[in-house]
This record gives sequence, structure tokens and C-alpha cells, in this order.
Amino acid sequence: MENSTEESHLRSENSVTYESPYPIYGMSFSPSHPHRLALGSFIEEYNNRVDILSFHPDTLSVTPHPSLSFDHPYPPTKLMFHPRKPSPSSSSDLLATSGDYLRLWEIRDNSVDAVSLFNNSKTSEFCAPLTSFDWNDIDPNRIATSSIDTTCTIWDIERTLVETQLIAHDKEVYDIAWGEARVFASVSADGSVRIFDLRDKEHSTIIYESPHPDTPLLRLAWNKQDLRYMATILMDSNKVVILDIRSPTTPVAELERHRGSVNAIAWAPHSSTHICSAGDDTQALIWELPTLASPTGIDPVCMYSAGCEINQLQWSAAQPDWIAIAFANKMQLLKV
Amino acid sequence: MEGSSGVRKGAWSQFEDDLLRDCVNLHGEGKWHLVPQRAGLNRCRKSCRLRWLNYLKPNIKRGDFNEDEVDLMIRLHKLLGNRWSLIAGRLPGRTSNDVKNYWNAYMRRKVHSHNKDNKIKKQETKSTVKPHEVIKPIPRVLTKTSPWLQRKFINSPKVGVSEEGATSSENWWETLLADKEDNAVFNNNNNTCFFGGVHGELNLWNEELTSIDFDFVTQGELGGIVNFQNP
Repeated sequence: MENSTEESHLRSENSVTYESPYPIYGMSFSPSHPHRLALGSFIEEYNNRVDILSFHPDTLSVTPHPSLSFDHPYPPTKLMFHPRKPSPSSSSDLLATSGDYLRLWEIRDNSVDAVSLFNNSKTSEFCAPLTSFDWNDIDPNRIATSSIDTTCTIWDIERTLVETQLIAHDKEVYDIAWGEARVFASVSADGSVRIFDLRDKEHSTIIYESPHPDTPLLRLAWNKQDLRYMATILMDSNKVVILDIRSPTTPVAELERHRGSVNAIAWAPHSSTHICSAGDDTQALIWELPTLASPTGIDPVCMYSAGCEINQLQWSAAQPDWIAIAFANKMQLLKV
Repeated sequence: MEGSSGVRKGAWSQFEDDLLRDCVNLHGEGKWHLVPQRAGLNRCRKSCRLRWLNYLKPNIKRGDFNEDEVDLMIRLHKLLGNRWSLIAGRLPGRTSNDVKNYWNAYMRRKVHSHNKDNKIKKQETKSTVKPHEVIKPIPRVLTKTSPWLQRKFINSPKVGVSEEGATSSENWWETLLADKEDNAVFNNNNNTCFFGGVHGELNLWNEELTSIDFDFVTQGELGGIVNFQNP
């Protein structure tokens, strides 16, 4: 009965839908403003937008803030709010965005200010587009970015300087995630998951390589409730691969119930054994990982259907009852 | 006008130009070390080559650069920097000398002010460019059957953690210290380390495993995993 699949019908009390004027990709919940959500547009040209919304779980409604909307060059590949409140007295919020560069924005009550642009090129004329980044929640003065130029860069946020730049992989680096204050991992088009320790910059550790040569790995999620576990997804694959860093190269589980490519994964912020995935089959699935490996495979515990392919997924840490999914030009909040 | 070494320098005469042109027309470009002798010129080969490439070549375009050429030059300079021969290679009829002289005379100041305007328009309050060293870590693959890993895991002691007043950073530091002690014991027990005894290499994996123990203990103390409630 535990493994039975329950289809949860979307009723008005279980979901909220926001329709954007443009396609959506980047999303982030604000940890310090529990009802705040940032959305990034995905228009394949220079001019793009970032919108700030307020979510009201009591009335099940979403309110956009036009005065907090701002222009962003190129589609933001990742949005992330400061993992803590920047300062106790201030009511403003910090939002980081990646695209051509890493940028920092201050979200005030009625306006948005561009605070910093992080540029690590030898000459200011060139930039290597960034695919993703992660904000260190233990040491929020650090952000790690991943780039198509095969490097990962660790930034000192206060001084807007490069702390470290590593040639992390053999091909484009598609995602990056912190585990500890000085430990991060990344995935790449070279098909590997690698762990880096900033106290030993001369080495990295490969903990997984995709079974088919040169199948890129697209996303990486490190379980913050249990740092032994990571999840990753392969290009054009319906699998969610669960890794145990104590058992390198062999996945502890492969979740294979999606009927299309998986596009996004997120661990539950409050449980070490739950993970959500979403993909081209228009489904968002929530899985519970068993303590022992099951020979017949694992079934999801919850399933949601959207109207079309789901591109992005975020699980709110401030309100763990809610998950946000993005498909086409819609953002939907699901109660779990 | 004869130099002390015997080779002529300075401005080319019409007579010399005629000799060089006839020689290249007869023998073609290249093999410049033979040209002075073949043409009967008292010039070094480099001087002959430059005279031909920058002045005598028939298809060289004279006169001012037009708007399209300037626009293309700016874009190529962004891509290629001060590599004048590469830029000139994409500007038909223009020589590397012409490109360099035009850029240094007219463009350097213009492009600089253009960049300033761009930055003002972006309204970015901070933008820093700092040269830094890029490090390439050497990747390692650890296998399931690694004897080092198995031994380490079995020997690893659990780290006691006090919940009162402990922060993540402090816990991390404690596990680091414990890890070092254990590592020392480990090294004493095994003279030949699996990874050649380099301490730096051992450090990374040890810390990962210790971190795992820490999280496991914490989870146990919390009385088990938080149950996930279905909607």
C-alpha cells in the first residue's frame, strides 16, 4: 500500500496557477520572505524579464508586483534568493541571477536595484555564459557558478571577486551544488558527477559516470537532509539516478516511472527520503526512497499532471507543503 | 644611403620598386630569401617582403576606410585583439600595416569611450575584472571494492556531537579534527597507502566519510526520519 500510486486530482484547494505574459524557466522561493517567489522569462533573445510574485496560501492566490519586475539580459538560467535574511533590520531581499554573467539584485519594498555584476574574464569584452549556480547556505558569502567553458567559479560576494576558478570537467558544466561550506559537486556534458573540496584544489573525485559514453548529465541535486545522497538526470532519459557518495560509480536507485525525459529534480527540504521529479511527460512525481533496495523498482507516492511539458521545479524550504512547477507560460503551485 | 653593413635601408626608389615587382611577377611570392639576389636588389629579404605586401601588391586598396570596413574592423578587433594580420586577412585589399595604423590613429580612443557608454547604460554599480589563476583538479575514480575505502569505513569512529549550542560550522570543524587523528592512526597502521601516502589526497575522502558519520548520528538522535505526510 505504501508504494501504490495515488493520483491527486488538482482541485482549487490544492493548487494555484499563475499565467505569465511570456514562457517561464527560472524560479526561486525566498527563504526570508516566505510568500515571495521570483520567476524568470525564457525568451530566446536579449530582452528578458524577472518578475516577483507574492503567494497567499490562505486565499490560494498569487499577486504579481509590477514595481518589482525588472529587465534581465538573456533568459536567466538560474534564480536564487539569499539563503538567509541579509540583515535582521533590513526588509530587502537579495536575488542572484545567472545568464551571460552572475548578477546580484536587491529587492526592496517598491524597487529593484542592480547591486553587482560578476565578471571573471581577463578582458572585459568576453564572457562565457553560465549554466547554473548555487548559493552556499552555510557561508552565504560564496556563490559557485558553472559555465559552458568547462569551469566552475567560486565567487566572493562581498568583494565581487573570484575566490577560485577550477577547470572542473572535460566539457560544458551544466549544474553545480554545494554540499558543505567548502565542498561542492557538479555535472557535465562529459557524463560525470564530480566532487570538489576547496581545501584540496589539486584533485576532484568522480562518483558517477553515465552508462552510455558521452551522455550528458543535466541537473544535480544534493540531499541537504542527508549529504550521503545526490540525484542527477541524464539527457533524453526518463531516469532519476540516486547516488550514494559512499558507493561510487553504482547508483543506489534508478527511478524510472516517467514516460518522457526528466527535466527537473528537487529533494524535499524537510525529509531526507523524499524527492520530486518533473519532465516531458507532463507529470510531477514525488518518490519515497526505501531503506532497502527493491527488486521490482520504486513507484512514486504522488503524481500531478500539468497541461504540457514541465521544465522547472522548486520545493519551498520556507513552506515545505508547496511545490512550484513551470510549464509553457504558467507557474503552478501544488500543495503536497 | 648605404648602411654600414652594405645593405641599403630607407625609402625605396622607383627603380628598386620596378626590380622587385618584376621579380615577384616572374617567380611569384614566397622564397623571400632568394628575392634580393634574383631581383638584383641590395636589400634584406624582410624589407623586400614588407615592401611587396604593404605597398606594391596589385590589389592593395588605397584611400580611407569606408564605414563597413571600420565596423568590421571593430568587431574583428573584439574577437582577435591586436592581431592585425588576421584582421587584415578579412578586409579585402587592406594590409596589416594599414589596419594597425588606422586603429592606433583613430579607433583606440573611440572604442574606449564606446565601452564607457555601454557600461553607463547597463547601470551596473559594480563590475570588477581581476586576473586569477585557473586550477585544473586531477579527477580520481574510487571503486566500490577499494580496500582503502572499506577499511576506512569500518575503522571510522562515530563522532559525538552535542546539540546544545552547536552550529554547522563548529560541527564541521570538530569532524575535521577527529578525522585528522583517525587519519594519523590509519597511516601508522599501513605503511604503504593505497594512494601512495600523499596526505592531501587522503584528506578529501576522509572528510567526506566523517561528514557522513556526523549526519548519520544527528539523524539517529532525532529519533528517526521525519515521516512524510501524504496530502
